Amino acid sequence: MIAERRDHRSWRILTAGDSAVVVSFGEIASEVLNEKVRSFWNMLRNCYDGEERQNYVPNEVKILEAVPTYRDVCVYYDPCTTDFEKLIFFLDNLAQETERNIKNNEGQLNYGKSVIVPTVYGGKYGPDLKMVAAYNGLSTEEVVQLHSEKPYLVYMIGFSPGYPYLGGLSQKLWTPRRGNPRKMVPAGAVGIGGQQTGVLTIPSPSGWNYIGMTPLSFFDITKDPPSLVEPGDLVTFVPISEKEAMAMGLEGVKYED
Amino acid sequence: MKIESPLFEVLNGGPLTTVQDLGRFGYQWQGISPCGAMDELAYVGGNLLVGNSPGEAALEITLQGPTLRVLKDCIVSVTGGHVEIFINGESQPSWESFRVDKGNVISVGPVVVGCRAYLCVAGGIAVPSILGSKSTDLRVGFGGFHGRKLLRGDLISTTKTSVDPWSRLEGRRVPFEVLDLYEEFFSQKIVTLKAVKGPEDYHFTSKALTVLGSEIFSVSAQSNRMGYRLEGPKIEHNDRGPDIVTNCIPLGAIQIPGSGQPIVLLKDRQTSGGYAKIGVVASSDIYKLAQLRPGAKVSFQWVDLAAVHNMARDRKNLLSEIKFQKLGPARFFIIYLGQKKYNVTIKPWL
Repeated sequence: MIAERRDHRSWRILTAGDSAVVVSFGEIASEVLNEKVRSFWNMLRNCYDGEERQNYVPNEVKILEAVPTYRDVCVYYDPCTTDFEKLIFFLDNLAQETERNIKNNEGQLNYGKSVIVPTVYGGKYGPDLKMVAAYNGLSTEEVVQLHSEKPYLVYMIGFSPGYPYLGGLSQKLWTPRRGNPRKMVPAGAVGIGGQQTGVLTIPSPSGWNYIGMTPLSFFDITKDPPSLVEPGDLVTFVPISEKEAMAMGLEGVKYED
Repeated sequence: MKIESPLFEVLNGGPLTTVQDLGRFGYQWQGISPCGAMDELAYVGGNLLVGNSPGEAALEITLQGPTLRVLKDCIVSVTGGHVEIFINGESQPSWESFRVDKGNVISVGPVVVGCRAYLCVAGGIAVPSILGSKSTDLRVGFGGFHGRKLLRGDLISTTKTSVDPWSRLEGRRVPFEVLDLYEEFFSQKIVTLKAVKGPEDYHFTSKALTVLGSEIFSVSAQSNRMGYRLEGPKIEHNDRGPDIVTNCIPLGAIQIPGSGQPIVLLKDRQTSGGYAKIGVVASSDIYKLAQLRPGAKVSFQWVDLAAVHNMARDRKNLLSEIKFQKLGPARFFIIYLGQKKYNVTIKPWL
């Protein structure tokens, strides 16, 4: 159900139950679209400086949190204290301002911080490296080279705490998920699943192909915010030796089939 | 927050008893599930009964309650599904605040009607607040009581907050308006869940929307705090199919994967997912799912947004205007009906 259809504008606001709306910026996921998503989301975040609401946000608009994804921002609100019409009006104006800002930037893409992910590739740390290489007709060195030579954009965080959805994996490395998922894959495992690459942030069952491990922690509950990366950050994998990894705190690794 | 000396020693934790509050908000963008009490109505009612603010941490009981040794006098309530409570072997009704003394053993039995219950204590349960909440995240393993369910030997403490005099707090009962809501719901053979269409209703045939809004589904055994899997007529996607580019999952979202069988996502759900969501259950009907067990029958009713907004406001008003009745001293009777003997306790309204 469309809450408000704005045909002459490039975004739509969709109803998602009584306590959320989805501000949708387009159909095809891309870095450019995600730029719009993050720009809107950051403006929304700036409306709430900690607990304080900026005075241009109407009193009757009680936004609880906003979550960016590939193509949309989900805005959670309190239905008991929010005037729904005013909420939509407010979000429409913010989306319009986002459009203006993007136009003014003339296609320039803004990124957050750069994060280096030191990774031990292969051996017991990456039990599927040889298989990924064979599947794609490459040597293991070529796989490591292709995987680590470019930065990946963090489109969003989801699935599990701190888990970054990374975009831009080279087509030469696309490898289908395993027929039989593993029962348990350790946190820090770096893998490829279909057209995506990523790092497991908490131990989890998984059907991805794991090519390496990082001692870097993507999720630390003692920190606020507990996630290492944010949407818009750039992640680059850098090959390191087992010795260097252990010096960084990488302990024994355990994959359970 | 000053943590007092322990209040309860867990003699038996029950199958799944966890510390919950209203949930963890502001961190879904980091992939952190909100968690929190599944049946917010019973949970808030229980807290208000013992003089707490609505969001104080409490114990969520699933299917069968814990047995606790009381280490300090306190005021307690148990609310939610029909459950037997015994204090040193003596029966105590639910939906009332009552006093327990040091040395007593509280035994909360099986939930015979419904699925979940809440044990609230005046002052709230003391556990560290992580990212603004005391709720347990069972999937990741943090928050609440060491990120897990209660086990034998655990010691539960309360926070030192100023509570109203016990003379005012004990012996209060939740008004009939709330009890009637539950009785009506428990008497239904098929539970109706009001829902709003969208956000990805355009992934479904119009027949699918009609089927979901009229047919009967049953709750499968694969149902838990993350979500309830339903079994019933297949809900068909149109050419767009079940897959969407990953986006957010609000509480109560009705996801339809390729199997065509609905999953209603609940408190411990993952924050994002890639299956089309045909609709979202009204937030004020989520408590019904919290009280359903495998085998229960449900149906959905499509309503418009204004209707569910009104339901949410009505629910909030019900709780904010709640007035508790004080009960007088109990009188005990034994009633014989044919061959059966019944022990009856009567407490008058004051």
